[in-house]
Amino acid sequence: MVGYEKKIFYAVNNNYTNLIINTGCWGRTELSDLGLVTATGIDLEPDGNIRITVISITPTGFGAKGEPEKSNSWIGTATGKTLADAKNNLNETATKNLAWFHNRFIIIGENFAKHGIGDIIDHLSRGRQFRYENKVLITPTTAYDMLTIPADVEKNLVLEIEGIVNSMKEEWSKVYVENFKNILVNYCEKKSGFITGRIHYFKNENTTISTSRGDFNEAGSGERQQYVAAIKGSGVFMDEKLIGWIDGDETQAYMLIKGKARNGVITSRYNDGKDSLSYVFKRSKSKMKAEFDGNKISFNIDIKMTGRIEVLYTEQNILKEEEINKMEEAVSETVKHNLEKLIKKAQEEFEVDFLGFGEYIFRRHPKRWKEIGDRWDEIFPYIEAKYNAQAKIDNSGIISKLVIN
Amino acid sequence: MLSENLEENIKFLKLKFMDCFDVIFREFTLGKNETKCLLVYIQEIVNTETMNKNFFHSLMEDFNVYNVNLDKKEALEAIKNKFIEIGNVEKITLLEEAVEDILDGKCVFLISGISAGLSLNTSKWQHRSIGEPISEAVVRGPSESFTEAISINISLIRKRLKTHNLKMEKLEIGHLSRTRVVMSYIKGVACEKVVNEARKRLEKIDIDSINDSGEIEQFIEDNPYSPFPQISYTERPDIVSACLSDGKVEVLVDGSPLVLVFPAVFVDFLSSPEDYYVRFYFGTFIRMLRYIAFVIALFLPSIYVAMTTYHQEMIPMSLLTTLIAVRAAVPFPAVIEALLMEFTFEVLRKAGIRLPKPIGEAVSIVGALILGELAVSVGIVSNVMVIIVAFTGIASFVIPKYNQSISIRLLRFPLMILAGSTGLFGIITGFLFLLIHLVSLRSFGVPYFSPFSPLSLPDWKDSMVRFPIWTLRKKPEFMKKRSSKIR
Repeated sequence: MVGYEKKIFYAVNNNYTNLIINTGCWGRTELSDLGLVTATGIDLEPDGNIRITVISITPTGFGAKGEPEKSNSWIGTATGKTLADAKNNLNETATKNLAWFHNRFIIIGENFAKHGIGDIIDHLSRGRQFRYENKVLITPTTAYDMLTIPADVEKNLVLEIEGIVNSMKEEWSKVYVENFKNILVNYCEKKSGFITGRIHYFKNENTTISTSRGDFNEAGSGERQQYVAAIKGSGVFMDEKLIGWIDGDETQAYMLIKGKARNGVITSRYNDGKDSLSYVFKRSKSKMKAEFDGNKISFNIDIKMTGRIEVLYTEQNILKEEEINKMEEAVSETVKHNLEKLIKKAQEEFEVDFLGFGEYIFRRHPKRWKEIGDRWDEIFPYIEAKYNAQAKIDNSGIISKLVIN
Repeated sequence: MLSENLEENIKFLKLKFMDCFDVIFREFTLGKNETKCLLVYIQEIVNTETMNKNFFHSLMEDFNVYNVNLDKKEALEAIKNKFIEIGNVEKITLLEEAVEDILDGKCVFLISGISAGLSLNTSKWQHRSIGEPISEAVVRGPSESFTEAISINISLIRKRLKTHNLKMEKLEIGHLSRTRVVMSYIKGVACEKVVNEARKRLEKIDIDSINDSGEIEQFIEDNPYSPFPQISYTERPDIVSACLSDGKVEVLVDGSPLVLVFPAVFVDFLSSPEDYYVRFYFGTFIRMLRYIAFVIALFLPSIYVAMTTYHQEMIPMSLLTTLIAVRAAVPFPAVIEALLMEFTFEVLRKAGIRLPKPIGEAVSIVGALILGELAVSVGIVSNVMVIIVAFTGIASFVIPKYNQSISIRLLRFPLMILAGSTGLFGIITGFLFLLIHLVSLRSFGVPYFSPFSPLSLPDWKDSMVRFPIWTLRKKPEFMKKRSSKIR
């Protein structure tokens, strides 16, 4: 070896030796020792302890024909003074090394959400194993109840929830499930609120239940056997605390104001309420503007959408321009109605600014913010919010004259 | 020194060739005075037909017609010039020379009263005829290959390069074997420094016998401790002619059908003549395929071990659950499993080579199918590991040069151990070691990792990709720039 080669050789050699000798952790885990946690539920117990509930998947090997057997889902739960404590206590009953890197959902019970999720955001964001893509869902019951209901169609509840979230992502802005990263960002910004999906279960009165349900044993016995999970509406957060719930239409309005809605369906009445009409928007634009008149603060929200007609029951000739204008009007009215509901809820019911008005002033008018920032919670209910919505139909969505004519 | 007394010469030669039944001493007389003559040769390596027709016949039939005074010193010259109808005839004056020539398949002709002799080149060595290349077969391209006879090999090269600048330097290596070794290059194209250095290294070889060019290779390579081969080989005359015109030096060894080619760089071991004979799109495609296969052959088992024991978070969820299910019944840690499987595969591979063809096929079926299948169903190894090992093995067959592919097979094992002990960190460390080593390696002064390092962009046209043939008219830049000293 020549000189420089020797040098590099020793440098690499040194580093490698250092790596082996001086590092503390040695992350060797055999695959067969892993329990893959796919959903984590967090509750606040009445005694102030934290309860953690996990669904962990442990594939059990191959069947006779060499096909993978149905994997075992293990539902474990434990309590502790802190989240870390509860996580460690899980090991009392867990047979595998619980690994969180494939965790997909964090489900937070209402009690805990009202108490404030700051602690767990902090704890989870520090760990190596939690991915920022984790979806966060809020349930109005306890997370333990939620996670122990049986899966309907999929192999386990997690796949079920994932299926629901994925199927809702497109074409339907009425549900919005926030991921962990955005919640972390919002949490750091303090003054802005956020919403995330509300998961609940309801009792399925019908008998049309998937066959795989029978495989699910104890947790879902009795009446619980009939429960079905659903994601509907959203939970509203402000400063790490849950302040209330909004329904699907309001979620859509929220998304439109925030400019996050990409696709969505708006159903409204048309032709003096005789016909119903479903409108799908493909693009939406939101503009917010604040006006200051002395002490009076007013906001202008302007929403523009373009889209097409999806479903329409009418006998009018919809290719006429005035009819199209009428339909656009009808859709705009529906959106305005939803906006009004949402803003009213924020100003009158919650009296909390989760729509980001304060944030807007903070960013665009920092001088004003210095004057009013401290009293913003008091001012917010009394600001005047004007809103306007404009829906445009850029094509009719039909390829020939209507069949029913 | 040859004596004037023929009896003394006979005595000396008989002593030298004691207990050699195949050495023939043919005594006869010539001329009016019945002068005693002697012809010594080894029957098995002499073309007796030529000897009888062009020596005995012409000498005995025609000799008495001319008046040749056999007592004179000039008699030998006269016989050489007038009677012997053989092309290559040399005068010898030393007994040792006579012994060597006899062993080279020549006939040594001695006349009583003259202290010199003639050596007649009548040698005829047994060899097989020109066959098809076995280890470097191509679909498209010439399909003749070198044989063990150096004369045939030289003729195959001469056939392809008709220039007086093609030089063939002859050396004899081996005290016992006196193997003929020919260094071939094109003067003015090959670098003088490399030629001189090669000559020097070849002359320095001190050994009793040379049986294959592989032995020569180990004597003259730059870094004998490196796992990577620094001298390429080929059994195809078309590659030799292409390499010669690239400015490379070839070494032909008598008795070996494989010709050594150097300086050889890393990219040479991953290219095949077929790359040039097919159109350049496909040429480029198979080049890239080979580089990917090289990486797979070297790293795949260790990456699998590292990912499944240390970096499970890098594996997608659905694949991970399958892997866990597959590995659930396996009693060994992944690294032991991998080493075990690779070892088994190497054993199978070796067993298949040694056995005769029909049995070899049976062994590979038993090995691959039955052993693999049973090992999985019994639960000693997982079937994913069988896939990994099989794919790695197949990928290593894509590397066209055998000596490079065995070095990859060897390096796989330390990499697996590194992966099993420190995961991807270990693999990266191992990779850095290899890279540092490759970059510092030289083949007869040419940096082994050129044209990548040192960078010579024009030569990238013929490295991982192959540009159209008309852009490859110049010989590689890195063969010209030989800034570094030859070590």
